[in-house]
Amino acid sequence: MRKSIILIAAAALFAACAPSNVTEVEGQAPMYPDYTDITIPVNIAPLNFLLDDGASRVCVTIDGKTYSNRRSGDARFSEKAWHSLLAGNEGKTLEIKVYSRGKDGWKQYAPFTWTVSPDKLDPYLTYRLIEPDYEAYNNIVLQQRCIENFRTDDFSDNRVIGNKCMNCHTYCGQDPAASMFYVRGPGGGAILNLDGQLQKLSIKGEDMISGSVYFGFSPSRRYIVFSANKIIPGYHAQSIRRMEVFDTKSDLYVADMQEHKFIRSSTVTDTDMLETFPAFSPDGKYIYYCKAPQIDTVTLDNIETQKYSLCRVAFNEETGTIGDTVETIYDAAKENKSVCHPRVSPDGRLICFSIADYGTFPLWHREADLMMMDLETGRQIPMTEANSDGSESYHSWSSNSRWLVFASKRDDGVYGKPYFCHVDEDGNCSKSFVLPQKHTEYYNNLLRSFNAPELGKGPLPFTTYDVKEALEQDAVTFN
Amino acid sequence: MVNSDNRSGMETPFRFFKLSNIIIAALFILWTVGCFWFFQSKFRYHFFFIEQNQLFLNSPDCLSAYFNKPAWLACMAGDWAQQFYHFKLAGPAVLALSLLIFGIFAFLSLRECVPAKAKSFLRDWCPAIAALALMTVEARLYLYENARLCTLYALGGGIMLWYAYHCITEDFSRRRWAGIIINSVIFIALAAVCYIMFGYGALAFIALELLSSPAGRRIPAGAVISIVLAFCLSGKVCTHYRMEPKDALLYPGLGRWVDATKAKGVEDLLTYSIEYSRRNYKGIINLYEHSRNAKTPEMSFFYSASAAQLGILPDKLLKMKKPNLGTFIHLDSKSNLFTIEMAAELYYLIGDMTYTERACMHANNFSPTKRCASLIKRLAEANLVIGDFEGAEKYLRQLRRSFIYREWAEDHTPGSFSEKVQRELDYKRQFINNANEIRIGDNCHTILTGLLDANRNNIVALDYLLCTDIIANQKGMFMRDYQKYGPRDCELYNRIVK
Repeated sequence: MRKSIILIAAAALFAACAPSNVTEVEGQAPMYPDYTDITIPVNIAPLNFLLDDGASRVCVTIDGKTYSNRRSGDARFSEKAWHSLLAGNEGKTLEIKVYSRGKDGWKQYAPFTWTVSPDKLDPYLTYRLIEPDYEAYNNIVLQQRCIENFRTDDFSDNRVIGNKCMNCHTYCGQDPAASMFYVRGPGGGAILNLDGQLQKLSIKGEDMISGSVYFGFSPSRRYIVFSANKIIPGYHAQSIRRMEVFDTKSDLYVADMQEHKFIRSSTVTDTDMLETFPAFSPDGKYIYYCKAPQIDTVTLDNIETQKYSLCRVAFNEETGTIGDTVETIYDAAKENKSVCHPRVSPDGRLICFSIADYGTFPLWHREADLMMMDLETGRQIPMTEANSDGSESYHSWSSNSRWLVFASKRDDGVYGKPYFCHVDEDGNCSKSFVLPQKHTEYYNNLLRSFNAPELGKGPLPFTTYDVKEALEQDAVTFN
Repeated sequence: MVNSDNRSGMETPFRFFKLSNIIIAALFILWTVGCFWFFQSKFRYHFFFIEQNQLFLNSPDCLSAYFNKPAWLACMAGDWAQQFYHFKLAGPAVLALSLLIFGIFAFLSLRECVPAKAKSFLRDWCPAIAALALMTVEARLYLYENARLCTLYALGGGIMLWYAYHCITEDFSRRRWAGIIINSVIFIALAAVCYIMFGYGALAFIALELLSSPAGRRIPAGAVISIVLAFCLSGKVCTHYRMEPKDALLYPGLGRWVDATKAKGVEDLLTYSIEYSRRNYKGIINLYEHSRNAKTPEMSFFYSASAAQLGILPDKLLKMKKPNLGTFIHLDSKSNLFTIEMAAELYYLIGDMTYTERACMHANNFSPTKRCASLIKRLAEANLVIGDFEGAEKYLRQLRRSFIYREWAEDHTPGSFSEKVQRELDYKRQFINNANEIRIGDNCHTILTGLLDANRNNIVALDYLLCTDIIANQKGMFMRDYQKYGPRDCELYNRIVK
């Protein structure tokens, strides 16, 4: 009885909060981030948003119930109420109404929907926070964020490890028990995490043009495939295009992490070709990578003709050998596009990659988009709903193959942010949405980019102090 | 503060107006006026420089970031107060008033460290002299061009909190064991709060308790336990705040003692830099030509940039003993902040917005606050010049959240440009380089010739190109450049061509 009274009182209180004397206005609410008509995972953190209409109060109802009513220009949801809302509406579509109180009283914008997908998103997201001018660094941090709430932890901070540059963190699959990232500069190396034990590796052979740059794990964790690249940064005269980063040389190698030796093959170290962005297929039977002819002289005209095809070569995990035949999956010459960052879905059915007009650095290409391909049929599936007018690049799959995270510069063209989109069984994508934040002005005030977002099934078992300790070890070398 | 039997020695309102206290108050006021005058007359550009190197945003996420480090209150209050350095006279006034308040609490607290029955000299004058000395030492730290107010607020906060604690707990401290226990518990809790709010001010908080105990015949159990606890918990605190033990202990820093001559040199340099940002080009030329002080390369840079703005760079080139046009600056991770900021000014002046943006971002990364008002403004301007309004909006939105730059941001908002802003943007847009080409590195010859290929009327770029050839002693290159991009009628060039 007492419980019922409390519930009725609470319901009355909610009902009382809904605004009265409301004027309906046409058009969507001017909200940032844009969370209108999206599919969201059942375990996502509250989608707090800002209303950019000078409102003094914002009220949000979801399926008729008030979930946020604040005397400020933004909507923020209680985590507890939010999660019970999503849990109770798995697979359903919710209707959201946004009310805003301005000088002329309350107004209501056109309602929109949130479809709650029962497909869970892997709960952790790792990324590098870095200033967008990649030439110099000063304030780099590798972080992991729990996407179910707003908890963020640094797992490598360059202020702690002696102001060294750090590159992107990559999991083996989405397993937090196996991952690796690079710390550059004197005393640096590849930091390999195996079950929380960190090891410093020097993944560079004497015959290689550089150490390991882009890499991917084999499913057994025994091998990593990596590219050695000679990377040149350049600056466009046309300021709006900003930066161009290109390779003058690049080759692929496989490193045996057990025997500490390199596996070389002339198939993927062709001196007339550039081979880069390698990734193992989830079954470990193929290495997918990008390949383009080398350019003679560095001019923009030449760089603009450089287009990378998507290829694959067989790999035998048992014998540790690279196959001799290269298959072209996406022909750059035919499609007149350049492919970067191929990543196969964990179920092995789909492959997602970036396509740009040319080159190997889609991050600064406004036209860069994501593209999906069905590996069984070879059908290309444009990701129109997920893409935007800005650059989309560096994506990562969730372990159930139903979600993608990627970096998008759609908001301002300079600062990358992590966006998610749902992928159905046929490879069709939903409209993408940005990682929600506790403070609605977080992205507006941030002067750093989210770089190389990767999804993980759990929290990483090490801290920045463990990284510092690992860096003090002697590096394990490879032959 | 008022104690009925005055056993603690605290002053009743009536006794406060005794002669010695009036003289002490007068001394404090005189000191404050002197401090204000000194900083206003000798170091006023320091304050504007500090303000330009931060951007205080009235935004919940930025404010909540203060909680990631100790001394959140000191840092937040310090940064908030520093934004007013933007206004004339405000910097020295804010500092002098802050020092006065600090001094008053230091005096009141130090008095409590002297037995109540001590003579007036010990009871009044010694604390006053010590407080004035402390104020002077603290003021001296503000000769450093990057001195933050939060270091003073942290120390002052610790002292104020101890004084408040002392006033409140004075009565029950005498009740033997119960008093000692209650006092200690309150003290330990406040010491923790003090560290969270005022960082190293907690050291002053504990030190004052230890110092005052003999005078009040109290057992400083709370202070001793606090020291032991701090020692035991230091590892956890360092991990929590992600800091080295020394940094964690002294956060937000004790300040930096700089040589007065060096500080004056920095002030002279900042005079050039800030007057340049205020577009007082004639004033800079006048200052450079008539000042007897030694000229640094940075001063020469602003002198030449001012001359270029007025179209008289070739006429002024030979007036510099060691010319520095800034065209030989190469940016890398070892470049100092001032050099990077000079490069940003140069690129904006000649009209290359790609390199302007790069240098501004680079400078912002290397600045102490990572969010400099001057650089955020320049980033917005560079984006507006190239017509990237979405990019500009990123910075304008932040400026709109600040108290000082809201109006500036409104004037620069696409769609509602003020007439002056529109005129400036139209002027700058004539000179941008829209060629389909890529530059590797920051070779200024390539950048300048690219700009001149895009627009032969870019006289500023032409002067920089030809003057760079001259100071690099490259006559052949000068002739080639002059023939390709000239003629330009000026005495210096004519003399060389002939």
